[in-house]
Amino acid sequence: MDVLELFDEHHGALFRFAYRLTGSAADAEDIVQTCFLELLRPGCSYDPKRAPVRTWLFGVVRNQALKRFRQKPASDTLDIPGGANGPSPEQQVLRSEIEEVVRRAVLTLPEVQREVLILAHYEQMPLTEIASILDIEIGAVKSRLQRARVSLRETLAAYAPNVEQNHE
Amino acid sequence: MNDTELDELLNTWKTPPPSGSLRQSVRAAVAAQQQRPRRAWLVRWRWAAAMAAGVVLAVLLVNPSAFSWRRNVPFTVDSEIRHYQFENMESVATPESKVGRNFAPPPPVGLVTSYNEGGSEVILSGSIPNQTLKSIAGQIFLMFWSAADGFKRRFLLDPDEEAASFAVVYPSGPFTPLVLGRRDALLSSGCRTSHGDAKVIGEDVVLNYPVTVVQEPHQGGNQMATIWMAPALSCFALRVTVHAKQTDGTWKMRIERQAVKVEIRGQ
Repeated sequence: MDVLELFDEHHGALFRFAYRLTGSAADAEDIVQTCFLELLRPGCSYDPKRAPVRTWLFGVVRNQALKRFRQKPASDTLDIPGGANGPSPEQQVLRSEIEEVVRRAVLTLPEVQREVLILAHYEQMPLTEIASILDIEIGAVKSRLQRARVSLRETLAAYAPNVEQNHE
Repeated sequence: MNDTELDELLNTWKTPPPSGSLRQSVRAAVAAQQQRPRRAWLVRWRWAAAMAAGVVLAVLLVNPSAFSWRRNVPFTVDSEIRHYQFENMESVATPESKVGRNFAPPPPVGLVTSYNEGGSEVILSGSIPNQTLKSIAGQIFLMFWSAADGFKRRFLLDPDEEAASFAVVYPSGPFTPLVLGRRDALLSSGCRTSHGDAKVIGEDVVLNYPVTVVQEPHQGGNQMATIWMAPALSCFALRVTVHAKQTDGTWKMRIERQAVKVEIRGQ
């Protein structure tokens, strides 16, 4: 098992997951690096018979991110990402504002809902794989995802028209 | 807000790309990690290894033959070893004397438990009176020595080779063996070895065991070993003395090993 090959294949998705869990690019990079070093650690818990390596890697990122998040809440360390390409300055300002609102809304979700939402919506992961990563039943995944979306719908209700306006 | 609107809103949150240095960091960390796998293993297991070693040592101190390769020990003999300083001796024995001592013995310098396997002595344990640390060190040495010797006999020598190998006795511990000749010849002759210039000088009884008494010169005739071997105990030496020749031609005892207890296993 070549760690660098695995890195090339999975680090992008793992970084996005860690970033959206912690809200910090620096923390996300640390977590991704720790995740791959874990593979080299003597007595590493990864067992190819139990789960694919991708599932195991996401599980490690999740545990590391939650550990950091509990030490330093993500809302305290939000990075400001670069603007999107294309839109006008006004649209950029508006989009940046909406993006900030969405990010805060996601990051203020309860941990158990946030991780499910990120994996399902942003990583487009099947519910069975999410259940495997989080070591919970599929029913629990569904209910957490449902609660997260309900909560976000309420929090972001005021911004729906802006999205439509922005897309027009 | 419907699901599509919510999804579109959520999609506005973009993530920055990971920095280019991340791969370099991982590559460097991987290289560093691969250079010290042994150290990491040692750190992980050092306490377990230390505890295991402590348990083994404790077991050995309680039961010195606990990890012996040999399982069939037919008997054990406890012996005392004494060393003699010439200047302190009032009188000495001669090699011709079967009793070999007409003076008060000094305290023993060593206690040994051993037996004979195929005519050759195997030391199971030993200790030095009033020297706890030296006794422990000696016991640890005996453990490895016995394991190596047992391994050689069990896996490297076939029965014929072992029978043809030399029998030894240890008058003063494992570092000073006396060779008694081929094992098969020793056993088949009732311990009447003729190895080297050895000769039988008589018969005796030690601890109620009939013994054959053999004398064998060493070191160019400057030392004389007298060995009391019991045929019933696979030619175990129940008594051994080593005399040194003096400039005036007389002999003085330097080493004496005397059995004090014979224990037959399974009885």
